[in-house]
Amino acid sequence: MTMATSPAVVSCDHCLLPVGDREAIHDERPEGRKTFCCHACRSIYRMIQDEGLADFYARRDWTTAGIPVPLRGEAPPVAGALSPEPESLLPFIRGDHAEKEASLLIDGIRCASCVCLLEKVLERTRGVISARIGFATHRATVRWNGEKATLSGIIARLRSIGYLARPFSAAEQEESLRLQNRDLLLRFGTAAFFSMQLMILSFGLYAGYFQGIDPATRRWVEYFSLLACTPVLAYSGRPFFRGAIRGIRNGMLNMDVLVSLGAASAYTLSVYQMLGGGPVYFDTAAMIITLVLLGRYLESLAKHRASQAVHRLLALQPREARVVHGQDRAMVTTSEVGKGDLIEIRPGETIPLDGIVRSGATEVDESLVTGESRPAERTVGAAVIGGSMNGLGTIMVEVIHVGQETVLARIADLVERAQTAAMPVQRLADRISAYFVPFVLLLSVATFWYWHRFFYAGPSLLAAVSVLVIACPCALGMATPVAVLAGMDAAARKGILFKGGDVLERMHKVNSIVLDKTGTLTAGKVRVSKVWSVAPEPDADSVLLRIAASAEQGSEHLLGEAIVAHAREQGEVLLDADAFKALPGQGASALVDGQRILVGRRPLLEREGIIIPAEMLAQAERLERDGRTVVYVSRSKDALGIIGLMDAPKPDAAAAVRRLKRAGVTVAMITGDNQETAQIIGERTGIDLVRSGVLPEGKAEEVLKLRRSGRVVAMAGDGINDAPALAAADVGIAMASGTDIAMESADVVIMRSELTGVADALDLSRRTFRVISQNLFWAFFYNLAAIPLAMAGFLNPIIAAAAMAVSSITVVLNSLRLR
Amino acid sequence: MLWTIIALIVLMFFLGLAAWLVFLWAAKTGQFDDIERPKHRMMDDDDPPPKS
Repeated sequence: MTMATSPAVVSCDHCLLPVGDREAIHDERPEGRKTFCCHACRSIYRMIQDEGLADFYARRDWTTAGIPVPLRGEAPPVAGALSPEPESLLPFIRGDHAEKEASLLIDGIRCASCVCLLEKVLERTRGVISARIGFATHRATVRWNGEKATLSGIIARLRSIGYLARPFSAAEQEESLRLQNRDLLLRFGTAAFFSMQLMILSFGLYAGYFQGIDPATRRWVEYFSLLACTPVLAYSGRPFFRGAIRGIRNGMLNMDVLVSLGAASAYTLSVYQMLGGGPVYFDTAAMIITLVLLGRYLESLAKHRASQAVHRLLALQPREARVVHGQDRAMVTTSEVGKGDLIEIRPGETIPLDGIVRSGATEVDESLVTGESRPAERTVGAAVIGGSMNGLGTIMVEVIHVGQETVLARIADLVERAQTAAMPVQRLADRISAYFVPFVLLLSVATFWYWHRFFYAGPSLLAAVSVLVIACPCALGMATPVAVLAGMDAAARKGILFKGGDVLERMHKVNSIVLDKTGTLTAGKVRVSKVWSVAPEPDADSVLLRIAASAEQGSEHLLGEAIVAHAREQGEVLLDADAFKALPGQGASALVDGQRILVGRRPLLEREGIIIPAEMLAQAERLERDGRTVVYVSRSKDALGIIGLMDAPKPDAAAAVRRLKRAGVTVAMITGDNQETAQIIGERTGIDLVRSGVLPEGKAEEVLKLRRSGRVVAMAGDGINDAPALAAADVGIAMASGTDIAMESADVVIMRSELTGVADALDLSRRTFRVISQNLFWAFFYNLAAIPLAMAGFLNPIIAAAAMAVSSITVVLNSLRLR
Repeated sequence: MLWTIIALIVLMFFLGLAAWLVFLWAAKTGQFDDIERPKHRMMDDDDPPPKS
């Protein structure tokens, strides 16, 4: 695509770029001889013609070569000067101002010509230095001059030619996390090495205080201390000083201010003392920075590790699937497998994608996803999760989720989002610093005033600075990350996934827990226990079951699935159903054999004007008294009968409720079922607050009502109909066995379907927060205790060092109790 | 006596400095970037490890 060098210049018939006649590519087409600048343009031209879109060339309004006119102008699409980058894009941008870099994921790339076009567009965009696009990955790495272009401008430009670009988050996070990690490691490592040297020297000095030391030796040791301490402050401590300046500018006394103040005053005081012959505190200055950096490094490492766990998880998903076409089997990459495709999985293979078993039976090991190590039986109609291990049977699976929809991908996404959510713990430390820093400053000024007023000038400044030095709690930086790390680690080991640090904070305040009945409190395995039909014929029951099951085939609701499963067990052949529609909280409707079938609660049928015979009502009442859920079935205008389903509480439900109650939490149950059923379950599990017959919108309303009465509410559920309530609660808890939407709207996901998980989650969040507050207390305590000594002018380095070491060790040991 | 101590301190200082330089080299060449992955690598299938 170089400019023509020979005088014979033609223009490309696709992109209109001028091209030398000899370099041009010619193609004999039915519509005549066409000239192209490159093969990509030719193939695009062919494609457009073959698709019958020839009038594209007639209708397009390009008259000049290459890129459409509005894109070539010098002015960026955004009018006026460069608008600042939107905040949402900032995390994706690397590099300094003169040369910024970002990765974009571009939607709409079909062929190599697109890549060629995009690269040209990008490189002609003002300010863009280079653009590389991977054809296979659809990922672009763009570098641009920050003074001439913005990322949002580049994205807008790509959009104007029909490609949707978004910052590529996964790689971006990974990359920035890696760089941040390395930066922290370098700073921490440097601080640690010099602090070690400093410690050795300081021990000599401490010994000198007790045994006496030759002044010349002391002088030399102090010089070396200064030498070792300076890089710690100048290099490792720089982020703190920068953060402190930023904080002060914003009028906030954050933790960085505290750390900088402590380290800087210890350093200056020591230099002053060294010249004057007093005791020095270089080790204090260095250790403050080293220990806070250690806390930050641990936090960063934990995030990094979580993201790598995700990548390993995704790497375990097979890259190929055996797709079945009639008698043929073909290995196809998983990205090309579509929804509804049938795939075959042989014994011992890993299941590539989520699906429903259509034939065969096996046992699968889903420990990777659920943590449940016992193999689970999977027969026709059961769902299997991609990434789990197939046992000894060969199964045919109909794919229901591909790509980002798979359970594995969603878990990965969940974990990734959890990492990016800001930890509330930093805020907690900042909140405390906001009171502590002014307090310490006040004390310091008071000390100065007191000494100056009643004694003489020299030691007054010394005493004031000593207060600042000793007050800085260096364990503060580790108090929260270490505890959260230990807490989340313990939670993950129990199969509980908190979607973010802030969830941990909200969870520990919870004093009411609302449990959804179906699937959460009960086994989640509802079974049909009674089929009763109005018609007297002997096969009427089986007809009723067949019709109800046929209508419910598309259902994600537990009751519907139970009916379908039961029908299959009974050997019923299901009929095709159309126009399936789930009516949350009421039931479902579908067309079977051209007749409208309703399966659901009594009001659903009554609203449709279907008359329910008295005999049927009496039967229904009897079943409900036994604690069964009753589903009414009708065909067009006739009530056919009822199906009674039994839904026993989970074996651990009563124990879990007892634990929650003992923790001082009000336990309530909400269900769409009728009162009798709900009451029986409530009695069996020991829940006293039962709300029955609540519609899905009503569930959210009930949760809000509780919240308005000043309670902090957690809602646990797993169905589509629970999603609004999960979102409405302070903390939404979803069971991993539940529907996707529930997991999506929840803050906490419990990977095993046991109710004790809810109790464990509450327990852990409370313990973590108790440990954090204890940590914060101990972090401040020793230093606070030493302040009076400093104010009295008795501070010596031993006390400063001891206060620091003891508070740090206390914090770490205290956090480890969580494991 | 004094000079012996100073000599020892300087020796210690340079030993520490050497260790620190080794650490700097290791951190900068990415030796610590991923301390989780290598131990799992032997479990992988035949695919070559990712280059980056």
